[in-house]
Amino acid sequence: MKGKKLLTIALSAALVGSAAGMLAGCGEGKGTELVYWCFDADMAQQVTDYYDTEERALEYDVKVEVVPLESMLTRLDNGFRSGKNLPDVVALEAESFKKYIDDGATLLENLDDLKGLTSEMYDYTVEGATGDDGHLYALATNVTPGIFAYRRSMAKAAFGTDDPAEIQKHFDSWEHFLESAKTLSELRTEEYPEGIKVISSYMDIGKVFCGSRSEGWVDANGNLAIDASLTEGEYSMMEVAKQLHVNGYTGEQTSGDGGWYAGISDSDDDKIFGYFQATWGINTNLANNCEGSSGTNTSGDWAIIEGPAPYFEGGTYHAVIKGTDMLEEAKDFVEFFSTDKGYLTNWAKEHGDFMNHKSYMEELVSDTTANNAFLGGQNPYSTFIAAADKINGEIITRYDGEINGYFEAWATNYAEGKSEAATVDAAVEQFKQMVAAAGLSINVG
Amino acid sequence: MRQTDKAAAAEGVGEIAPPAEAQEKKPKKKFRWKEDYFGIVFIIPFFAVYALFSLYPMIYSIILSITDYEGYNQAIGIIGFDNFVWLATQQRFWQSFLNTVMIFCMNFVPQMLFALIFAAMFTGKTYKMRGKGAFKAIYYLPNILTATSVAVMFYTLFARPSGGLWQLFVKMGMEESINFYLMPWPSRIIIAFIQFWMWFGNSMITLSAGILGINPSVFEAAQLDGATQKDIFIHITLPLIKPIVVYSLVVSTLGGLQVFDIPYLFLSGGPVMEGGRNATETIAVYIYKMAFTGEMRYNVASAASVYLFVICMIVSFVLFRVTSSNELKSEERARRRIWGKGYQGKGEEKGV
Repeated sequence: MKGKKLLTIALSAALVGSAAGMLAGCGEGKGTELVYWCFDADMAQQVTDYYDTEERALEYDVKVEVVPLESMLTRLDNGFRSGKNLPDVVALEAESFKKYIDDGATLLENLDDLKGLTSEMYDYTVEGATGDDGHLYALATNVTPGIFAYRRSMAKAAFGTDDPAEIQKHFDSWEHFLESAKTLSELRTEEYPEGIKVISSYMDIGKVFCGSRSEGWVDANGNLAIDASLTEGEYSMMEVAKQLHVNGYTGEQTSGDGGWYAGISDSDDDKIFGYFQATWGINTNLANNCEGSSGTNTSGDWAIIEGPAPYFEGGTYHAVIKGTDMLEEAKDFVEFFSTDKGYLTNWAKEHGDFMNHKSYMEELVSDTTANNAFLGGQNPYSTFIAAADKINGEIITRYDGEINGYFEAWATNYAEGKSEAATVDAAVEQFKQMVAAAGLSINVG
Repeated sequence: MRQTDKAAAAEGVGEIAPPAEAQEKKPKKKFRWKEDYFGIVFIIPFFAVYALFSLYPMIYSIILSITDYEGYNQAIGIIGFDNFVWLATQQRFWQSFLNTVMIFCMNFVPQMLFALIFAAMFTGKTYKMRGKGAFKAIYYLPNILTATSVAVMFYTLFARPSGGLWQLFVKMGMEESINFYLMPWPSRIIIAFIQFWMWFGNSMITLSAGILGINPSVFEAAQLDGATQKDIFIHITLPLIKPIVVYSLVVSTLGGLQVFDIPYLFLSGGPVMEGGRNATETIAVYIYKMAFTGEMRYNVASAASVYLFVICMIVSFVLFRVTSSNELKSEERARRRIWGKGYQGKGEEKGV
């Protein structure tokens, strides 16, 4: 009997204990360690490889936590609201985190004393890191201009050359882009009996058009602004998308689907000429997917050009959380990842990444060790630099991720000839209603 | 059980009101561990977890719904029912409610129908069939798969231009320009089908259990009286498994109103329709998008979930009301059948 009683007590204690155990935990200490939140494993790697090394012998610990982008927003929001559970330094991704920079005065430490470093940085990254009040709240560590990557073998078949300078002439405007798409699709050779599709998904042009606008989504009075390049004229985003779709110039895939990736390794039914990719996409999307399951491998058969318009995608900014007790150390951290030559050039060479330091990157243009084997030995830095110089950082707003998606949705409906988007005006009207229904603090006329 | 309770109560009374001389000494009321208390200890974990993960969030979201708690806004104040008023004027919100109901109806009716037919087939005494167990397992299998894999699998099947089923439709004469994921009804139907496919095995098992719980002598008696398989199913099986059907109905309706996983994973609420609405955005998806994307409007999302909560309450209340009153009425009808139309004694019987 006694044994039974003991057993029952033990069991119930275990039940209560396990429930209590789930509730315990939480709470981070601060003081002698610098807490850094980043959103991918590569960034954590950078810290251990270059910053928190034995040679540098830091007097404090650097604690790196990888927070996936999806949960980063929630965690930062909660932290900023309650003032608790915040890191000292945080890596922000350009588009979805603009709201923190806009409101930097209440959330982030002012980095105006590091402004001297920005002369070596690409302008758009400085514009993107400047808050509503004109102060600097972050420094970008890498620059992520978008480029157009194409297949050399297909370029030779269609245009007689695979030289990037020559191919750029065929793709330097949307007019030429459509002409070349036509040439590619009408090509009939033994190797390409059904022609070549210029890109895999026609809505891939969305990010290019949205990134090359001259006006952001919100004007100075808080009204929704739609840039003319999206809706007006023969070569607006709406019309180019429609032309690509109606004429069957593209693979008709959805960006990021299996078929879209299959085109990279040449294992799709359609032959795909190229992809719009940001600097990091060459490695992450193209090089990682260039081997098909049926043994095809397109590595080395690629080259990059600027393409029809400048745009950017992603990008990492480092910001210091307001009220940190490690201010100097945090600033040193931010400065290091934007200025240290050893880190910037080595990381760039190892990962094909493009870092935010003009003179170091210009050195890489003539550095043959920076040539990229995946790109058939092409040195990508001159193209990166040319593309980065043209990007307009003033168009970045906190709503970009959301509104770009809405616009692409209605541009798609227009291209596909849906009855509720029969004309550009009708599609734009629907787009406006979509923005209004999202409940953003924007006046929709 | 009641007796022991009484005994315990009597003991307690004795302790609280001791004789007068004992009262002067005021003996400390000694805590005595009783075997019965283990029951309380065992239910504590549930209530603790429930309070923390269900009750607290529920009350918290009701409070949030009347505030201006958005994003990282540090100064939070109570703004009354503005969020509810704003939501009430939102076409997109009501569309999400409508979508939920449409998707639910399209999946629930066939789901119950097929579940009933298969349950009757698999439990039938006279209908001999090989490999019943295997079929049951196969039909139940989709329910074991995670929603993510199911959503990705179906997405791939119907995607233009590489999806297998899309290509099949094209071979059968469908226009190549058709993209299911840009059209409201095909998208909704595919989602409803996924729900049906995932859940009908589950309903089938539940209904089979209900059928197997019926006393076999009832079937035997019916067979002896010359009833056909069809008669038995309609007049015996169906009425007797009604409680199980009602249970399935209530559980599925509440589950259907809160459906999130497949619609979100499949097209995350798309395709877009006129007026800023979305074709497969259910209420739960709308709440999620409001709270955890873009501007993180926790207050609006909370208000929407309060609406959903109220709707769920009303629906379950109505369902219980309708089904339970039917039970009484049918008893009444049975009595009248047996005792004749002049039967009056319903008042006395009700309490039994």
